[in-house]
Amino acid sequence: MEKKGLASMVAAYEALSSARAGGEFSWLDDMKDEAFRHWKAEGLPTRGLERWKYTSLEALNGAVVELPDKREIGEITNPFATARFTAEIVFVDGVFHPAASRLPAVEGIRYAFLSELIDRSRKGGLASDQHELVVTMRGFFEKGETHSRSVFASLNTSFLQDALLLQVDAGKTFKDPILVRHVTGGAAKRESGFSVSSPRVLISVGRSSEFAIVEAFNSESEARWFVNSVTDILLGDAARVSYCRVQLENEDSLHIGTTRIHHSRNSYSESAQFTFGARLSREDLLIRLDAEGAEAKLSGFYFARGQQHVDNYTLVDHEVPYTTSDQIYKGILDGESRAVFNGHVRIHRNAQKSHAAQVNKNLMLSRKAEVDTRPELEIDADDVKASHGATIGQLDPEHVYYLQSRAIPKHEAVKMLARGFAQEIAFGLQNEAIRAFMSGIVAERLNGMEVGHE
Amino acid sequence: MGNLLEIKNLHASVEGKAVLKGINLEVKAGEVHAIMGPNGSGKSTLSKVIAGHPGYEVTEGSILYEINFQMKDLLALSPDERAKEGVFLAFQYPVEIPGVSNFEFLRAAFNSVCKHHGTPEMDEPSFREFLRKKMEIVNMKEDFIERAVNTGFSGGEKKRNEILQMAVLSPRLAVLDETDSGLDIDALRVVADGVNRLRSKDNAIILITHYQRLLDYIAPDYVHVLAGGRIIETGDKTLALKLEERGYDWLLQN
Repeated sequence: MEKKGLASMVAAYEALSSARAGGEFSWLDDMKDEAFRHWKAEGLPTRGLERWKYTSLEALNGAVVELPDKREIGEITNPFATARFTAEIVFVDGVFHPAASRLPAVEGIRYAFLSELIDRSRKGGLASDQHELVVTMRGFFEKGETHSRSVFASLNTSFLQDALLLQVDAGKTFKDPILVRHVTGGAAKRESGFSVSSPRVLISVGRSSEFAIVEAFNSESEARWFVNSVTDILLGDAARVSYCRVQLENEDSLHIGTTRIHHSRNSYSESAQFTFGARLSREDLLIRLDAEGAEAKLSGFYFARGQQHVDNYTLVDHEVPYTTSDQIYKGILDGESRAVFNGHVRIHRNAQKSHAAQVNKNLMLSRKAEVDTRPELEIDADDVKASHGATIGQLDPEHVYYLQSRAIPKHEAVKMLARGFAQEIAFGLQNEAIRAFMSGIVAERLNGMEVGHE
Repeated sequence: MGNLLEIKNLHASVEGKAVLKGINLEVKAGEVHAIMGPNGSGKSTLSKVIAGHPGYEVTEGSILYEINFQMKDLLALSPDERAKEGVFLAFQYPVEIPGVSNFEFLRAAFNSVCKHHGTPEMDEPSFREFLRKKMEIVNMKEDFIERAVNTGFSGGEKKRNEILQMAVLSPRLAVLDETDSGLDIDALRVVADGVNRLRSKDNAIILITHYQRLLDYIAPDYVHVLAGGRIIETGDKTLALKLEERGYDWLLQN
């Protein structure tokens, strides 16, 4: 295979040498260079690799990948019902867009934007509290590297133009979520090739705090983007987070997401992944349970149609005793779409008394759709509870008939049942505002689907 | 008055096995017909064929149903079209549908019928109010409507939910397939009471049952005995009492 993708990214990175942050941020330049060396040497993953067995990146490998053109950004629309969100932070093509954002001052939450900090340090230096934020950010980047290293995380580090740091103080409870919207804008539609966007979000939830956040990805145009997002979440002792991602990008785009959650003692994370958009998407959710009492709940829903390909990889590492994970992913496939679910759970030797449960259920609306579901349990401890289950099936004709017998036409019955199947995930979300937000999106997306073909 | 339903020489099979072997039945608006008979005689098959279950194949005969004062071929209509024209089947085993709320389900069903007849659909608040009144008929608690359709319902709740659906859709022809089975006496009374309140001169009810006890609560105009895929005896409600007393054997021996 011609490695046009990699070669063009190498060229793009080398051309960036003029855009060094320098000064107080020379550590960032070094980190980007280091990441560059890593992905350049590794190359893009191929299907020969275990983790990429079912997902081909030929589309990316064979295309030119460029940085977005410099251009004026027009008005950014908001497709979401966002009344319940405390704040709304908008990134366009991976760069903070203050005009479209709503950022009220909230006691106990600090926001920082890498682009702004760099700008300020150039224009006359940072105040001491800003300097502190830079130190925190740097620590975060380093923590990400030690959690796990991947080609896509390294690509993100090399190409990121901005980063959001959200810091929640200790002992604070925020029930209403914050929305971070990653919009890909109107770069010229390329015949082949992609524009790359590298959103980076760092979330730190202090000791005994509770926080909720949604990251939404959508497109403002039909332009082809390669969105390569990385989110790192760091939880203090007994901290709790509800984290939700929803991807609604246009169906020419390619989306790679990496989410890494770093736990502490008795901390709790609820993470949810909703995938509707992009031609090809891959989400890696990597969770380390390396402190006693840490608990992670993972859930996901994907809806793929036409030629879409959606791949979810989850990795939960139970590294110490008394850790818990519970995951459920569900998907609906129509057309000639393909889905991959690979749920990887590792229970390390000393992680006794750990619990791990995993379920993946797939609903096939078309004979031409395909699913590869692969639970992967590696258990090196003996006193643990672990379970997994996977199903692939069609709608139960008795259910369709029951609705039809109540005057509901067949295509409406199919939609209603598909929605019911999907809503188990949205209704299962613990944060009430996120639950309402997501069940609205799920209903809207499934109502919009076309049914009628076999 | 003319017939609402005319079943003529109906033969039907399931998975290639002949179950109905020449059913003839005429039903007028305002009438209640009870169909009794031993297990495996074809009672449930008859109800499924009337309601258009895709698993049953009609091999001979016809079912005509009155639509706008004309007898139409019911078998040519899809299950949802039949329902829109007022055919209703209360299932013997209502299915559980996780993830779809009873409210959403009932409103979609109701509005689908409205749309078909060109009457305005109901918005959420007015349907909620409408539903509240219907729920009183079957003595249902409010929280019931937010739960997923039949999911985790007890046997009695499922049957009451069927009658609630009947109340919401106001069918012209309701077929109740063993709605009494599995009910204790209190639940039976609630269900029977609901059916009686929905009974009118404009609609007809076909009760399929094993037991006479349901007929103590819902008095039929006719009782038919179905055996071996045919109606072998028709009488008034005293026939049911006779069956209760003597069983089916005396009829089958003829």
